[in-house]
Amino acid sequence: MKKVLSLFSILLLWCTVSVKAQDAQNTQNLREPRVWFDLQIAQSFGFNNWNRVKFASDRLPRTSSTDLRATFNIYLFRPVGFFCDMGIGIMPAPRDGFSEPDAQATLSSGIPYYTKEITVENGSRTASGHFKMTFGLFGKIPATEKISVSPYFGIGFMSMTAPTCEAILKEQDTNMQYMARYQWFGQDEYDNEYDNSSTSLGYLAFRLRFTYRVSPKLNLLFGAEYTWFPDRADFSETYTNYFNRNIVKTIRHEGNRLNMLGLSLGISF
Amino acid sequence: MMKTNRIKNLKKRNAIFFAVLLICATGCSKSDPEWSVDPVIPVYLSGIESVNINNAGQYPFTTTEPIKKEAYMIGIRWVTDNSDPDGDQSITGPVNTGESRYQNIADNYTKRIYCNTVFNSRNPAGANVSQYFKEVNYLPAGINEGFVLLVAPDAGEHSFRVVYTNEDGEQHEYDTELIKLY
Repeated sequence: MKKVLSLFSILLLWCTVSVKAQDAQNTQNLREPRVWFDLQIAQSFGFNNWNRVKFASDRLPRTSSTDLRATFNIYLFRPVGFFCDMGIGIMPAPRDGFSEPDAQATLSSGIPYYTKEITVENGSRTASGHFKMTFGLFGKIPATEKISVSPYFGIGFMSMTAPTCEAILKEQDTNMQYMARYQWFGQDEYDNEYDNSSTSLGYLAFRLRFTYRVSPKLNLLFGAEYTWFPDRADFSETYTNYFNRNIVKTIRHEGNRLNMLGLSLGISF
Repeated sequence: MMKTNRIKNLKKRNAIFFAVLLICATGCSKSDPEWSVDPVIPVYLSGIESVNINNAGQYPFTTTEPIKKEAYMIGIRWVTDNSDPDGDQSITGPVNTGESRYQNIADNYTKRIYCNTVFNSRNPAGANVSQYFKEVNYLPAGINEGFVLLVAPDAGEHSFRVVYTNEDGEQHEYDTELIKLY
């Protein structure tokens, strides 16, 4: 008997909630436009490093990003829609510049190397800007007459500077010198073109957005988001004998897949 | 008919005149290098001095103390002369823009290094060991040229003779001080 009563109560509750949600959806559907724009500011924090090699991680921007983005939303069929956003962002300066390329010299263990000269320095020592673009699908689930919850799922890319560093290293206690070339994001280590210094990283974005209706034409947005970068921040090091140009050693360190969690605030109109 | 021919002749004459004028103008504007004033103060190599350099650390330095045989380097000081062999007494002109170039007063010399002592079992005293040295451009203060030794000799006391020879057969040579390489 107790079981029957419990089941009946759950059924009653479900019916009440679904009827209320349906009412709210119907009410919102009447008021809501088919197309709208969002303007958001988002702050994301990475919870892993670019690469397990500290030298490589410390010379890339820190894994945190402040973005300003505009989103275009359009219903395909209610409550599912398509969105596309574009944004600009800023990432904090790397922990280290290229001041000590000898710190990474892994030619022979236990032998110290000195930096004679840094011949190529391509990268940012300060905070660096980037461009982001995401597109995907969203759904809108009304919770009450004024509040709705929207899960967003999208794929996108982020452009950023791919640093390169080339230095002449001298071995302690001998006359030997090496040209050390350090590259990030899987650029071809034998490519001598330094012009192409930017790279784009793809990502998958999962966002949960809460909308509070202030007026028929203005909504306040609060969101939480998770971004996963399938592209790895690979780091490669190549050492060439300075005197005869023979490649002595090439090592490639596979980077980590970056995970970021973030919060966003914005308006919708 | 006569008038037309006269006009044609006149046009032809004008065209020839302008062509001659153009050739003269462009021809005259080219400056003859022999006429221009040499803008560089004359510097000539009148001798060389060679020193022993320890290149074991980050920065090389001249020394008389023993050196690791893998970190030995020879440094050259140029002995220069500013007197013009042509006896030109005029003030040197300004340097024109776009004339920067890599050039030094020892460029026209062939450089060779001989060992004054036994280098190793294959190279007795007096052997040409130039191929074991490589010119480098990081040098201690006051040194004009430097050559690092990339093949280590047998441990012991060593001295090298540096010989500079130019196309005219002019030769400068200098022996390094005997130094212990270990």
